[in-house]
Amino acid sequence: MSGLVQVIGRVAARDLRLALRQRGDAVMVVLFFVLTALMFPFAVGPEPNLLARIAAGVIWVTALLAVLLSLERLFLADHEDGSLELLALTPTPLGLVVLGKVLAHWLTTGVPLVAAAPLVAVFYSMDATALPALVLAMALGTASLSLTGAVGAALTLGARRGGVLVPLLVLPLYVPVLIFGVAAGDAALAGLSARPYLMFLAAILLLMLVVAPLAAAAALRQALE
Amino acid sequence: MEQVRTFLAMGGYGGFVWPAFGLTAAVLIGLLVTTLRRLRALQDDLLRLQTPAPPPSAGARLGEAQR
Amino acid sequence: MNLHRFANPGRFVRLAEKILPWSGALAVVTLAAGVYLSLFASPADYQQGESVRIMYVHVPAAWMAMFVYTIIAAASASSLIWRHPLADLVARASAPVGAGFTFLALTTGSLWGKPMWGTWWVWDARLTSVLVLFFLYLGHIALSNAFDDQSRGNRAAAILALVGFINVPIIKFSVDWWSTLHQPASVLRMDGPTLDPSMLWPLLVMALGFKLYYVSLLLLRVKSEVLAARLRARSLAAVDAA
Repeated sequence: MSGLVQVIGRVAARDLRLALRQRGDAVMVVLFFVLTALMFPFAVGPEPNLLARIAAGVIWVTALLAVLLSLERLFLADHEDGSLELLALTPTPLGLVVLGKVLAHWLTTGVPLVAAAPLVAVFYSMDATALPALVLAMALGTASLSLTGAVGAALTLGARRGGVLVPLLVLPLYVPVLIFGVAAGDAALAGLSARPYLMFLAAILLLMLVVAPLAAAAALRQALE
Repeated sequence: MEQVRTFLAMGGYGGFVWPAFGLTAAVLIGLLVTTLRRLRALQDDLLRLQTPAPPPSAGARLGEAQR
Repeated sequence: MNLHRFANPGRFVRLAEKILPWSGALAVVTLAAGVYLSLFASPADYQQGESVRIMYVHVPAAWMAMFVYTIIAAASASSLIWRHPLADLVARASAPVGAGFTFLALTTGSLWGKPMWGTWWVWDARLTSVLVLFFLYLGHIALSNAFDDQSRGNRAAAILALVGFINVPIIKFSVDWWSTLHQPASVLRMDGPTLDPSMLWPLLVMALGFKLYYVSLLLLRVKSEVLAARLRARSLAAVDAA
């Protein structure tokens, strides 16, 4: 068991080191998230009640889009310079490699988004009591988004117009996370318990932790044939 | 005639019922037509490839291979 | 039933050609009977009037949308796990047909919803789930056509179909939950009235007709795919020979 964790850790560490060298990527994801979220008040007007009402939804959709944008680089660089092929040739199960890469992706995309969400909440006059539930929901949700997105990214490696294809493939699969994620925020805002929705999010995460590495690994193997 | 008109009116909902059935027919028939057309085109192409080529000159041979 | 007997494409095509006239004729007869029952031999609903007749195309279309997706998932599993050579072709042939049924479910749903709820689109749980299913179909078709190598496209689409299939119950569950949250409790269900036999029969006959249509169309389309593969192989051989 510890061997598995070590492998995942090693793959993640490698990706993180590469990501740190290009710090700009994570920053851009957050900037896109905040900037897009700030577009809505210009569109719907600055009335605080309206903004507070749509806050959770806007935060989730824009976070979702930010994750989508960052998915392409998950496998592309490694595929292009041949290191993906090398990884596939090692005895390490490709599924674990996927898990490691997804972990690194979540740490450099999901976590910064979760950290930036309270800032956006301020711009939306969102009640601070809802924040803990929202942040926890986003932590769980963005992890699922990274996992599901990895499948999309793996499937479209080497496809024509792969970049445009990923959202089409992945957005329908994102719907449950979006629904329950927003529900968690809205429940907390209404003073109700967000627990049932957090549990659904956790369940989805557990499912994708199993399904996504298997599917992505199968897709990668095809891409490398 | 009055009966036909009543039937077509569908109790006031004619503007919804007939397009619904019409669209259904259009999609089902349309899929069938495109399928049959493609099938016929493929069958023609295969027949063309199977027919032995006329006494070849170098040019004709090349032309057939290029298809 | 040992499906591998049909793995030989030539054998499949011969079998398909034997079945097709029968399934095709049956489909036509059943659909004709269904339309007759739907439009002539069934009563109007006391609440929804004659617009309830739209149910006789809407519900079977929605059922087929789900059914075909299940077939695609089964074919995808068969392709990935057992490498059954016809499985890829079945999935590829089915996707546009399934998308067509889904489109019909959506549009007839709109046409049914407008007189009922006064608006062309309603975020009813069933319609919304079908809408998401529509995009799953489109993604499948796009992915299978996104590669120059056809077989790569087929296998990628197979993986996508399985991931999608696993997620469909989750999507349905989340959409159901979401719609009860955002809609008043007394919502008109899109199944229409509780079904009296005089309304059940037209529905079942139409559903059967749709199924027979799909089977017949599928046989034709898989035959096309077999021929297309043969054509590709022969063209390559011709190039080699020259």
